[in-house]
Amino acid sequence: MKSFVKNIKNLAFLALLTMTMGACEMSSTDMREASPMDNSANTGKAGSMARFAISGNRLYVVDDDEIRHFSLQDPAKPTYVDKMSLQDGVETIFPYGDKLFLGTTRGMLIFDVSNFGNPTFISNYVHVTACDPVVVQDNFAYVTLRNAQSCRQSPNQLDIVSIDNLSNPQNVNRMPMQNPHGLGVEGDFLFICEGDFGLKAFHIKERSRPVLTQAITGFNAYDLIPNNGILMVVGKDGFLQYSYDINSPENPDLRLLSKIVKGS
Amino acid sequence: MTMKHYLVIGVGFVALLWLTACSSNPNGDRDPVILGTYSPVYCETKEVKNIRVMGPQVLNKTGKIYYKDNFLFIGEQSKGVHIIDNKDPKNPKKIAFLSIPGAQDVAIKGNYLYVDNYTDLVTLNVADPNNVKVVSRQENVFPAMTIYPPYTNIRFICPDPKKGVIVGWESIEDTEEARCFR
Repeated sequence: MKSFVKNIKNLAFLALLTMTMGACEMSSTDMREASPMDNSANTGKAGSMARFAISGNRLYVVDDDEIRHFSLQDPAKPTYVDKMSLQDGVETIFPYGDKLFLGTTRGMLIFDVSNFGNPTFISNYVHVTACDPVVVQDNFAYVTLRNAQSCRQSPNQLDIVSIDNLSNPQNVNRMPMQNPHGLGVEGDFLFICEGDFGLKAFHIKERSRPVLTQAITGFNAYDLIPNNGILMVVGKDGFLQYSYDINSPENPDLRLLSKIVKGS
Repeated sequence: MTMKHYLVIGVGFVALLWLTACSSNPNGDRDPVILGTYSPVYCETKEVKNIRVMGPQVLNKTGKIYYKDNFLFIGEQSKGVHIIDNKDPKNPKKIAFLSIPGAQDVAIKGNYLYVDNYTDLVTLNVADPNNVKVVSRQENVFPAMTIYPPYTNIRFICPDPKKGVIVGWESIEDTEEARCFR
């Protein structure tokens, strides 16, 4: 856990090496098991709209302009440790390895928590004012920007940000969206909620270049969690689940499995 | 933000309006656009910390989601958390509802679920999702988030702490009573 960056670089290198050696059938599941997320194996998976995140033995909670952290040394009785003031407009928090990525209305903040869990500011990726959750995988952050009343005027888009150098995150790609909300990434899959426009699936075999593979409309999608072939989606209309083919990112073949509609 | 802040903001806004009104405004600068008016929804103080484990409830205003070990936790905005047994994703089963006033977010580590109950952090044991128990509460660790509506460029009726804890904001017709601005 000394250096998360080193870890992901090593992993990326290993993955590349493995792939060039011809192990193209390596599934996303393998990738995930080898990922630095393992340090939080005992925690669950949150949707990208979360304001709570657990990393190591700490619970981090963001509100509009602060981040608080609690020690989970005794998991039955968390104890408040400290808080730090932030620029206002903080909306979401995503833990990845020993880093935290905060979605704010003006950009993405990156913190390091390797120092006994105490957050240290690393950098700020600035964008126009927008509502935006963020998810991270390998050396890339996926940030959605959405136009909404509470976020003033902004474009609807997906920013792909290289975090190769955490101190200097760089926009490497940008794609127009309709009304992006929560999003989720898993191996070669990227799923994005498009509000009233439903849901979109992308493959990210090339991490910086998402390719649209499937769009499903006819319901409102707010946030989602992909988990090993099952996509759990929540929105104004209720809860929906889709299956997807974990072995074929280019053709995920999303199929509705079940739903619990609002009011039932 | 305290009431004092609102008064300052409110007075500042009125002053700004007055100044703008009195200027000849040759550049066509416009007053801030008011996008809506809101009224606080109150809950009795003693009800606020009343956490109950209930049978399955209807999904209404669904919020955030959290997944762990075949169980899904779906937030019911400001009301609580639905627990869904998702061992068979073709047939998800609502098994319980945790009534937690003010709840917006959950996170789980091991057997414990952490959730916000307005200004408090509450820990529940979810080792058996069919039999959830409250195990601890850390009081006043979060700011009172709802002393103003979560929007800007809006007017709202200034909160009155005597009426209880604010549990939400409802959109109302514009009224002179709405003297606070954000």
